[in-house]
Amino acid sequence: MSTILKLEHIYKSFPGVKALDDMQIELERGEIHAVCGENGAGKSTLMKVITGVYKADSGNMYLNGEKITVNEPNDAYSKGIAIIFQETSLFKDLTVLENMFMGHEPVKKIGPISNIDYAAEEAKATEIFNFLGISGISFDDKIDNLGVAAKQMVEIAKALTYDAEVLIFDEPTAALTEKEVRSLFETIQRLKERGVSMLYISHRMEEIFEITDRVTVIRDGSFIKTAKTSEVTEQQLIAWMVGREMVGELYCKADVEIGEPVLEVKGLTKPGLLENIDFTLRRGEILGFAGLAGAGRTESAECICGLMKRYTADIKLFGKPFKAKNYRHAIDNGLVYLSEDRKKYGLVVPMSVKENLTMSILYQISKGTFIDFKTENQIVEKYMKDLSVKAPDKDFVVENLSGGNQQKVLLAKALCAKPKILILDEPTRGVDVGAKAEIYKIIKQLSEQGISIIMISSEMPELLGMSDRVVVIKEGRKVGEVERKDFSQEKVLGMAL
Amino acid sequence: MNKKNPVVSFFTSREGILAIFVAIFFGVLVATSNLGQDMFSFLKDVSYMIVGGLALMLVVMLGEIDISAGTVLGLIGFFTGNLLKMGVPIPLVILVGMLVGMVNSAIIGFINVKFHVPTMVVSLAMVKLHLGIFPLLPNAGWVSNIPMEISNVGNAKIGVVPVMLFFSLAILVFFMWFMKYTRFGKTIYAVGGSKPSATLAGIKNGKVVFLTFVMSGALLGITSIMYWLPASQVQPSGTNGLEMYFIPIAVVAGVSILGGTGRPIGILISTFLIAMLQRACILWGLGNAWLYLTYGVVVLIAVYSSVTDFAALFGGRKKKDANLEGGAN
Repeated sequence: MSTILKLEHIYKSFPGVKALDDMQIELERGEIHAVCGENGAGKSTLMKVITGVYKADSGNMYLNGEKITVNEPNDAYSKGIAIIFQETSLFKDLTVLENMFMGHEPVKKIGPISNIDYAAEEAKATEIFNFLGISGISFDDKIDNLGVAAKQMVEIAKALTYDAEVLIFDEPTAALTEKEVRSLFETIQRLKERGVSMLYISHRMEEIFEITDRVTVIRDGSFIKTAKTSEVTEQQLIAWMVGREMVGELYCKADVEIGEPVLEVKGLTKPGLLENIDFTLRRGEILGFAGLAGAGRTESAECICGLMKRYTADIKLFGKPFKAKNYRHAIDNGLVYLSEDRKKYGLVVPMSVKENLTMSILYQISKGTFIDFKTENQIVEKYMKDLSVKAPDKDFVVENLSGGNQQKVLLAKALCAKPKILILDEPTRGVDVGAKAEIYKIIKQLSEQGISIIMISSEMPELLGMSDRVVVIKEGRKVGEVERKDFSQEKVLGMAL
Repeated sequence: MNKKNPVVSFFTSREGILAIFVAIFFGVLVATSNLGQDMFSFLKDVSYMIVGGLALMLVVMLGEIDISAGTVLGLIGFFTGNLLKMGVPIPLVILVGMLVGMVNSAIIGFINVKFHVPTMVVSLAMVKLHLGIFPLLPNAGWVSNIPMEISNVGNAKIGVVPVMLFFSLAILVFFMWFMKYTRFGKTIYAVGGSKPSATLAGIKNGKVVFLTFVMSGALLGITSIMYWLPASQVQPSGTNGLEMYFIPIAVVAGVSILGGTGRPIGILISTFLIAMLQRACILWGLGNAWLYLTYGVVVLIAVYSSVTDFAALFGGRKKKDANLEGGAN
């Protein structure tokens, strides 16, 4: 095997942060090479340096042994390096064909005038679609009308229009269902057979072990190790990523006495989304909600909290009939919901940690019209300490925190409202292993304090590790309920699929 | 890949449905009023509105706005009117008009790109600048007594159709080609659709915004001349507020106020709609109050429809997903 892409001594800093510190990576021709690291380790920065989105402060980059400089995305593309982004970089109002060739449309000269050559575009796109085995998308479909998996396919097809020899996948499976992941992997195998070299970034260990040949671990912007994937264990990888051996079990479950029912839901129905869902949550219990994305777990929670209207259900909260008029009404009754999308619905990211934390309790900490800053500061300091939010100070803008710390701020915001029942929707999505462990610890402490928790999660180990009981929801219906003593991945997954 | 019939796909598109509606409205208007006798002056309005609409289409497509598009027409008219009076040949005057427009829009584009000031604010400042600078110019005021031979050029017609309309249509056809068949045209959609994505496609956002504004300015120059040429005098404040026709023309045409969408052909259709609305209220004797009311409602509906997915509103449409066949080819 020969080396196709090599980076060495790459330095890149942003104001106040050393993002890459003597980084190196070597990609061999035709291999799938995983890049692992916690959130904020510098994976995305490294990829952006390779593709010219960022310019490295110093360092060398070699392609096929030749030294190259990449100053802007076009430089990378023209050299056959392309990236499939985590958040798709497609234009939603344009067609598939327009998106695939945006910025590098083939042109045909008619006299002195260059015209975009649509026939050439279609010919090339057809060839790429055939190679990838894509059907069911037509070239003049608008991106907005495509599903997530289809968009991803268009992204890959777009990357191939650059005749890419080096392809970078940045968390490609984050939004895909299991079936879609399988077809993505097939596509990746095809690319490999064609001799395309790939860098593969993912948080999902099982994927790394399934499809990659080698793995490079980075931590705090520094290179740690490159190894053959077949020669390392998951434990080892995690240890390299966090810089220490994981002490004990990742999931910690409190031994809490489970009390009387606090939330009883009967016949929760919302036309087209939910049908006759029953469940009961008891004091101090962690009730897991399992199911596929879109099964109706989030929607159930939103109905109960008054975030969704027009539903029917018999809900008893602490033994009394209850129907949330709006979310404020739910909070005031001790029912707090944490959104799965913290940037969109959870936090106001350009605002400070402090402002985010007290956003839902402003009137409780106000004297008349004015906010009581002393009380506010006390509350904020208490929760930042309790949840060990790693921020320089309480006025730090949430946007600049790592995913794990943002999630902790979100949790702290919910706790400020003094919930008796907490609904956590994907509490560890996009959070690295270290922060996950801390969040599980917080959840454990909460249940020890007698707070009842509903945990919606797509990560089976987390769900089974933390819950007392799991409710399985499929296509808007409850299809089963499993007690902790009967927990097994196969059983729960079997019901959900 | 099965191709759709182009005629069918046009009449089921936003522009096509609008075209049918506009045609019916036109028929009703001609039948119920004396628009027939007034056709020449109606089409004269349509001529300059098409170009002004295209100018605003370009900037709205970027997700930007230019509310100084009305006042700048007066300023351009002042310069070009004086030149015409001095006997400078019309083609040269057109070039000067375009140049003034380009400078004005270039300032807006430059400030937006360089200092990240929203164009809404910059162009609002430009409005005041135009109004303020005008009295300070030498010989400020109306430009009157432009020779009849010159205004006759603006009033030239074939039947009831002003020659200027053909000129506008030529510009429209140019932009239909430009937006579809040139790389620069595509980048306007890209930058308006999503600046981060455009960067990742190797597009230089600032350059595209600046050049698009310059292009829009050139069109405003032409608009101004088309507006003033048929008259024998230029009364610079007369164009104030015209941006409130051009912006709706762009929006009704299907250019999302958020940027990234729209087709030049839509401008032709929506120009007719806006011009007819203006006439209808006069011809039916309803007065300005009704004009503004109808006009407000039309713009609201247009903006709403350009940013809303109707299919999602009426029960939703299933998003398409790719089928992947096994086996490489």
